[in-house]
Amino acid sequence: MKLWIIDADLIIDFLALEILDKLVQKHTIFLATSVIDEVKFYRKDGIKIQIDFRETYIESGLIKELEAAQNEIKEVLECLPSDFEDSIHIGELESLAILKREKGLIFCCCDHFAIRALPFIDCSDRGISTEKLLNSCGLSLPRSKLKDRHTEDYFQNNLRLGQEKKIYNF
Amino acid sequence: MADQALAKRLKELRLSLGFKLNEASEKLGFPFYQTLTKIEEGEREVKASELKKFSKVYFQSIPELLGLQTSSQFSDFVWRNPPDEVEKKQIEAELLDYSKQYYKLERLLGITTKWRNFKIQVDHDDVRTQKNITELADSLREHLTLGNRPASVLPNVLEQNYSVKILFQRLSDIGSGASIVHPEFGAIAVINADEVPWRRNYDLAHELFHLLTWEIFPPQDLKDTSFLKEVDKKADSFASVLLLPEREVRRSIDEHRDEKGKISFSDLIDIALEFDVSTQALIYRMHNLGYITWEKAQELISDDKLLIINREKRKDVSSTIPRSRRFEALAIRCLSKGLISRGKFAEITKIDRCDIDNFVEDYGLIEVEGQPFEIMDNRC
Repeated sequence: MKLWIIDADLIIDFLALEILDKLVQKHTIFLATSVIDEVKFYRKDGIKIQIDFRETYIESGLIKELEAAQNEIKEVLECLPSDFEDSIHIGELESLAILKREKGLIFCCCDHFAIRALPFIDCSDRGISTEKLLNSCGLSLPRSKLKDRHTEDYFQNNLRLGQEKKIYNF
Repeated sequence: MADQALAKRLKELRLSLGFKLNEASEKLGFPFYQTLTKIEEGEREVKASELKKFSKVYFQSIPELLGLQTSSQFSDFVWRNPPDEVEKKQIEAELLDYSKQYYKLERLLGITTKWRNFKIQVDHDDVRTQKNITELADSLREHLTLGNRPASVLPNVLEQNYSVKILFQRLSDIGSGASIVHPEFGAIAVINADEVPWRRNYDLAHELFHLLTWEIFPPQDLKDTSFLKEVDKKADSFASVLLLPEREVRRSIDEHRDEKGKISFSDLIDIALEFDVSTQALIYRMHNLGYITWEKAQELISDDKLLIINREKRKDVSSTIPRSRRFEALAIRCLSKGLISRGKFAEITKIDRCDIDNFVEDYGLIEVEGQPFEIMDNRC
């Protein structure tokens, strides 16, 4: 059993792929409050399906909620290069702030920008691709079902870009 | 621990927008206004999810709320029918926030505002008489290469070639539009998204007049309502000439006239549809070109039968809220180049997170850019 914190797009993708229920059985999943608020719909076979995510997964205790305070968000923003400030969403910022605070968590994310931000908060080794997460818990998907953003290559490539940016930035 | 500077900032922002404590609390989703009071007094910490709400309701970015960036407070919009003061403050704050997002997308992509490259200097003599305004509109149409049906291409030309930010805002009955030449964000035309398409075209041409004459009719002068009325009349004349080129209108009318020189209501509406303007705008232009008297124009505008046929002919019009294609295209470019996150993309384009992929695909694009390749510099 490992502890994961996940971004909103991934939760939406997991709902569409019908693997979230399986995942919560195998691992303890945490979500930031701002991320929970972002999950309102998912698409299945092209149809947009509404979900009361809070009621289904948070209030039922299947997923744990964590939240960050203003000063933690500020701390993360101060670690990031100034050109990142306007380009990142509060949900991603809150997840990063929680990751920085909770040392036992690993961040699974498919957003290029959040991945690139990991080196700036010294959490490069605490991020993982969707592909790797699913493989690690026996929920591997065929390559055809994985989107580009879920792959290990995508994750590593963006992590490398973040690391390069950090080096050039300072 | 509560941040006293943030507390102070939040209170100032609420007051600057004219919100009472209970109004702001309701908008922010606090069940009791006392929660907001405690936040503003620095007695309670703000959570990240609450920062998001403050950002949305007070139209400030997270770095601005946290004091990491200063926000532009400059707001000198020229309104056609100004809303009341409180409403105006809130709408202008929202419009400025939208403009700021637009500007930031341009900056991320290294695009400079080209508004000042219009190369048309307008002075008082250019807009003194109807003849002057006609000449100005004709020369601008030519300069912008708007062609024979200007309304259909005007938004695109202004957005793509001159970086005019066209903001579609739901204003219902507040007014047709507004404009501003912002020192930082450039030229901005606000169009009422609740208007029908042909009315929006006309409004854009009207706002273009204000943008062109920003130096000679500055916003402080236009605070005088009678003077604003006078300038608005000029802007209407300009819009009419710009969108309804004399030669093309005459040619179209000649084509539709019967052997007795008459034109039916249905044909009149068809011509207006052809030029993408309202039938009312065409009627006034026909008067201006000497086809009908002022009295006849007034009679036609209030003719019930014409109104019924007009409604019938235009019933298929799309009721979707218009969006700035350029703004969206810039946002997609920023997303595909990795300059903004997916969450930020959904936030600024106001779409749901699960719609991002479909939204991008609707533009015929994909999120991943592919391998870049070198192109030769063929400039001499």
